[in-house]
Amino acid sequence: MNAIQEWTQALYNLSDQAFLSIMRNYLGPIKTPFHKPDLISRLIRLISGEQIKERMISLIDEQDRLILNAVALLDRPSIDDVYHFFAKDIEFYIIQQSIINLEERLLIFQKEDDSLHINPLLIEELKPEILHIRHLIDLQVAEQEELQPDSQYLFEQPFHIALLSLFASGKIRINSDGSLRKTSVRTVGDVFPFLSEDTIPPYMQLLIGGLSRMGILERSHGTIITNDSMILQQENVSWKEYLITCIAQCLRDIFPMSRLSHICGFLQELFEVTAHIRAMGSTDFHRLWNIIASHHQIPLNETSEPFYMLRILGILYHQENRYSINPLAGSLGVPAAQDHRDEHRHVIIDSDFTITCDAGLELSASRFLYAAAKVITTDTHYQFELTKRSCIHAFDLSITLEQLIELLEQLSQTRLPHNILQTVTQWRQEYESLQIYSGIVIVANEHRRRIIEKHPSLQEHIIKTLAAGVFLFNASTERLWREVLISSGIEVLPKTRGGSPEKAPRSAVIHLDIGESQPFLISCIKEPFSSGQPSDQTDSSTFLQDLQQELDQKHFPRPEYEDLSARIDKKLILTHDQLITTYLHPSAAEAKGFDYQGKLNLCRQALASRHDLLEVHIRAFPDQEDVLLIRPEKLLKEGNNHILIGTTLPEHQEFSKSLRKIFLLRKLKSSLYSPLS
Amino acid sequence: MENQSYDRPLIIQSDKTLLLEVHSPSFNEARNDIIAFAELVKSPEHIHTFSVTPISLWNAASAGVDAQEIIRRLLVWSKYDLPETVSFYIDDIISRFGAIELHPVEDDTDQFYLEVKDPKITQEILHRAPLMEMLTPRRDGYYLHAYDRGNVKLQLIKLGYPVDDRIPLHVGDPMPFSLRETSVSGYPFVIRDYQKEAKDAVLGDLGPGTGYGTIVLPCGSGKTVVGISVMQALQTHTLILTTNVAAVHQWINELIDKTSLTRDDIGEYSGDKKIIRPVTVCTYQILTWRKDKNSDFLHFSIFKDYNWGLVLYDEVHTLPAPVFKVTAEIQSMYRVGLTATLVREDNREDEVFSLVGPKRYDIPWRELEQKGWIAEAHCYEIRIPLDESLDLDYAIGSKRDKFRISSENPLKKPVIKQLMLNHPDDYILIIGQYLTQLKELAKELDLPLITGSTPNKRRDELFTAFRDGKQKILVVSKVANFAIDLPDASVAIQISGTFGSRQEEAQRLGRILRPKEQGSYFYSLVTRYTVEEEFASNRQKFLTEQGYKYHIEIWD
Repeated sequence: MNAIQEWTQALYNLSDQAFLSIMRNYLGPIKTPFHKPDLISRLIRLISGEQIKERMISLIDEQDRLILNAVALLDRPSIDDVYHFFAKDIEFYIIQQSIINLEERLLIFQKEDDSLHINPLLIEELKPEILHIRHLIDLQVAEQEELQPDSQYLFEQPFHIALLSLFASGKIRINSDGSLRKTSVRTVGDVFPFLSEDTIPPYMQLLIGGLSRMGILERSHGTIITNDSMILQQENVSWKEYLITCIAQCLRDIFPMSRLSHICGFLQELFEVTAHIRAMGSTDFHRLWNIIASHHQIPLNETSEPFYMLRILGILYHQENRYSINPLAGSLGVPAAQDHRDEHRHVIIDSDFTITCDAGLELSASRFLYAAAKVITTDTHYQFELTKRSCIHAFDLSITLEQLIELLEQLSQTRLPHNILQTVTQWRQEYESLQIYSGIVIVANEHRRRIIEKHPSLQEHIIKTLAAGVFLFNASTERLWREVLISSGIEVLPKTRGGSPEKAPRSAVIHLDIGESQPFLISCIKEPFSSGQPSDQTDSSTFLQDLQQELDQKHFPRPEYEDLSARIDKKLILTHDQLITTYLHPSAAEAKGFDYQGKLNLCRQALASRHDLLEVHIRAFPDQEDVLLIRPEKLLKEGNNHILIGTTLPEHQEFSKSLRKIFLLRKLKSSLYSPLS
Repeated sequence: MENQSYDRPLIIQSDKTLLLEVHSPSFNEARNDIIAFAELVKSPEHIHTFSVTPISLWNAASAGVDAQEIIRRLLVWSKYDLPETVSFYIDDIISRFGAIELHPVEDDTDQFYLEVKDPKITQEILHRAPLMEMLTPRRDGYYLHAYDRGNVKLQLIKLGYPVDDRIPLHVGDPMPFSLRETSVSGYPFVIRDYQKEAKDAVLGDLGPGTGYGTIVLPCGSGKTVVGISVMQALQTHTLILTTNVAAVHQWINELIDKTSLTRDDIGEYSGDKKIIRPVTVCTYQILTWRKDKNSDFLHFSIFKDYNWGLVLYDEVHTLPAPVFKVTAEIQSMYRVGLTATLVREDNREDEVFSLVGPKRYDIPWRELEQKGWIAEAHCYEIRIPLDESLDLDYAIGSKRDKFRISSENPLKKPVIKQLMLNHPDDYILIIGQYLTQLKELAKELDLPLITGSTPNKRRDELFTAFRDGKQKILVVSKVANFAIDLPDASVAIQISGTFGSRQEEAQRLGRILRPKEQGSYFYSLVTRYTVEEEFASNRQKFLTEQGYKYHIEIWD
């Protein structure tokens, strides 16, 4: 179904009353019985005319433009989405009324899934004077010199190596409530001096949470440690994937219902879009955030909590009430310009066991480094130290001496100092002086021994040959090698004696599914933009005044006059030909005072519809009247009284009131497309 | 953002640490620029680390290097942009130098005038009760009594404000003497260029603001000669403070050997003797001796009872805390501190700065090494297996026992013998911690042994014999930690024990860093797979930080 078909289908789906109301307004008197397709065709012909289009567009004011852009830019927004989008700066009631008005003016329509859309017959005419992201958000491209990041560490790969090294040391301890212990705060401060004492707890809490969700960190008896097997197996993970996933996982708590891939996609797009944009005001930034969020199935955000988290991480800046994203996020941490002397090696390993590296060190090339070296400090350059303990840690992760030396030699700009080689070798020899294995010992007679030694499918399961006929097998693959033994003709296989085998380690794959970012918003920004007022206000004001003057001269009966006058105000009248008496006698939408039954009917009607709201007037004091907007949820009967239960808007607080205590009740449509009420 | 130049070898960290790449073509030039305002922390093979501290900045300021110049030099050599925090820090700290000056009061030698140029500092001083007890406010400053001079300077530096002392120094009783062209021992005696520069740096034009300070020279580079040179320039009664009796005797010997001073001109003030002469050499220990914790320091009067014109603090980095008190009171004298390092284990560098004086001269040991003034040192660690018969004792022993067993490993003896054979013509010190081990070794190798209980006379005899070449190998206990001057020692073999503090480590090596045709050797014997290795690894790290070449060998 193409867009125009979708629009016409939406018209078909209007209640008869609403449908006729629209048709009579634009086409004049409608004879019954009427033929909907015919009427729709006539309507299409009407609004396809150039003059009518121009008129419709000329009557769009600033507020209309805001709503229209929200509808166009949000991804299939519902009415509630538009409410939430403008929640901070436009009153709920005004949004609600504006949406209905725009529907009546055929500028927007609602599909069966309740999503709002721009009338496809008018989209091209609406761009770019009406429909452009810059009518909604003040986006300005920043000059290069404005794009200096204040904080770059999160986007530098050595920072993450340093972070993992710190956790691998086992020195980061947390309290039972998950907060960092004071000594650990100091330890973090020593290693990351760019973090102030106040910033460390929330910063580390975010990172610990994020990395734990990635499976990279674990908690063990109050200490945060690395899941080394998980880290070392991530050979094919790109830096971009790693970083985006890390940030996404840090923010996970504020998106509990969203998939990780959606959060990653959202962040990618947010970073790319804002990479070259000047700082924005709070409203603009909220809007941009929500537009992007809507395209990644992230709930629209009304709070500052995610901003707070991003500020803590050094991704979002907030100064003088203006927001900007760290420009490094836009490039996702592309390394700084390299030292011209050396394009590939960023590390100096000195004879005092100090390893100094610049920001260009890549995580993928130096994965072992976090395990083999202890982080000392992070600054303009990062410094690590090779210690006995850190090298032993590397050996524990099955990194061989040769691999370790190879890594160091590959990374180092200079020849490895001789004493380093000798000392690390010494440490390895000491490490190997005692070997501890875990597995299942098989003791085989001469015949079975030959089978085991020669069978190719068994070799991968043998950890070590302890002696002639004595083999140490891998406990986690017991099922597999037992099958091989059976298939090799060893029909009688005894049960394993002694302790139970180890559980198989959990899956060591980080699920990174960030996908490709959607170019939607970037292309929107790049479209030609025409600033200025949405319409020639003078011309449209004059037109409306002319209409009113003509109406005044027609001397219609009062109800018809008031109805037409209201329609002029609502900009539903596009031509002088529409000034005819097509009074629709709308059903009462208001009940007050002693009209208990009227109030009851209105409550029932509102409950029956999906979106209708109730405007409730309550007299708290003799001369004070409270007016509340309620989304009705239930009507409870208590004796001969009814209690209206619902939620106030936009506060979302519980409401419960006896109908007898309600002074005036008004039913408000939240959409033209609500079912018949 | 990185500066687009390949020969900028300096990396400036935001914590005021400077990393300097050794292999850069600009290394020497950059180092010479930054050494004026930064302290060398460590100097291994590839990257030297410096630290910018308040003391280092004030030392620079006192030498006429201002903040603008410091920042200019950093920018010239820095690979990256200068962190704002660093430039702000430099500006702030340097600005404090000269903000407070101490001036004499006309016609009143008992009072001085403390000029405070910054009202904010004045406000801060007003809120410090201990300071205000010593100060009487006047317009733009304060008056203070002469005897409070040192304490006021001390209090202010602890607040973070150095005092530029502009008061002319007191001239002591004259003591004319000259330097010999040929020493008594028959060698030509020439003051080396850097020694003259050091002397000139501290004395300056003898005007206000000069005549006091600290000279930093590596071990073995002739600090004693610098001290003598200062004495000769001032020609005044001199009190020399040093670390122990052996050092006292060394000073006395040097003075007699190289100057026209006679034995009668020089007094010894120590545990053994209490002789005051125009030139008196004294130990720190005797000064800080008292009967008990609550008694006075009986020997402090040596400072005030005589009209000294110059005080020399040898190894000033070891200046005992009680001596600071007296040092505070004798601010009127010319005073020079001599040391191989300004870094103190107790972090009281600021007190040395304010009471003895700022660093006036410093030269990297590598430069002296390259010029041949000190020897190149090679450090070896020889790892020896533990005697099998001790395996079980070691395994079940306490930590203390483990250390002793590994230190006294009998399998070290053949190694020592082999090393002695490898260095037949060298002067060798065999150094250890455990007397039993040393005694056994000395007996087995038929070598003289010097311990703490060796009488001073016997000790001096052995040192003289060593110096004269009559006895080329000595076995010594920890006493060798203290200042001994053995010009011809070229090999040290440590068989057990730690060296103690890092400064003592450097000092010990300094004993063998005398100029020689071939390099000096330092051997450390360590039992493999024992707790001794832990100390060995700390030592290795320290020595490589100092830039020594370090080799590890396994003795199978």
